[in-house]
Amino acid sequence: MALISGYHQSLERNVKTEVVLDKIKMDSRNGSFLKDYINIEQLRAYTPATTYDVYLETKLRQLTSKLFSEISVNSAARDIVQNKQFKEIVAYGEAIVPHILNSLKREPSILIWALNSILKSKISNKPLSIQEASNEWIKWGKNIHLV
Amino acid sequence: MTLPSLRGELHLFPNLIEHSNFCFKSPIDQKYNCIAWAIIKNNVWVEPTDGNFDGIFWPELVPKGFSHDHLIQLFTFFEYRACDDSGFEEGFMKVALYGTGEIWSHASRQLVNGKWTSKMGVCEDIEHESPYDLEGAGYGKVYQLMKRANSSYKLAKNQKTK
Repeated sequence: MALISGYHQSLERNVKTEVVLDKIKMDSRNGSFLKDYINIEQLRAYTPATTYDVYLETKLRQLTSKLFSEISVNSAARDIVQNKQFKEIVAYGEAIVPHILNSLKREPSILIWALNSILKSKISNKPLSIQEASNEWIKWGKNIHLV
Repeated sequence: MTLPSLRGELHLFPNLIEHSNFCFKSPIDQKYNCIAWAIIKNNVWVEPTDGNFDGIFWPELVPKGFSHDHLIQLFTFFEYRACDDSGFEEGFMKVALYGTGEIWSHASRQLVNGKWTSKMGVCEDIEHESPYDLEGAGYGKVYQLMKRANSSYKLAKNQKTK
């Protein structure tokens, strides 16, 4: 419950941010401003939500592909969570959570560990399989209208 | 999501190409790891962690760690005992434990046809001739062979006798 209420607070913050972002939407329609804001934090602050979502979706796909190609025959979760690409996914924080959930909907995966790291919580203290934990995370996301 | 295939990593396993008639036995799958596959589970990762991650399992009674001995203790928990020979013995199941330096890296399991099976990281499962086929830059060397009575074999044999 603490996890969910914390997430709602975070969503409220995001809604306020989006109101501000709406004001610059008109100026950004030509897309030219993007090249001036290559810093991620600036991009997060000044990019319209929809554009930022597309950016995050693309970035998640790229990072995940690179992550898996780098770990390949390595079976160690300890190495996976220390991998540069994994850490970059986690560094996007709560904004990337809906995209991870969408990815889990397409295919259950060890990206649940990124959710564990970002939200600092497991979905359950029961011993779940990767598939079961993925399903539980999706259910959680649906309950709070993230997916 | 694009997942890697072992086909792109074969350079890490020179013996596999030179000496083994290996074959792919499963699609690429990231829902279980090699240790889980060696203890015949294909839906969890078996690895010691601090307990902060979903879907990762390690028996509470087994000390957590990554030394060679920690993996031996895990398989001892599952009733395996050390042995010296990787050849097939009727009524027994065998596993081979691999390590690089002081750290365990992989485990493979013998099948009832005498061949060996391995889950290759997030890549495919393969069937290979010998546990030594996987020695190399990827997993290091086999440092321990272990065996236990194969209960399903006993059951099948008893049913045949009846």
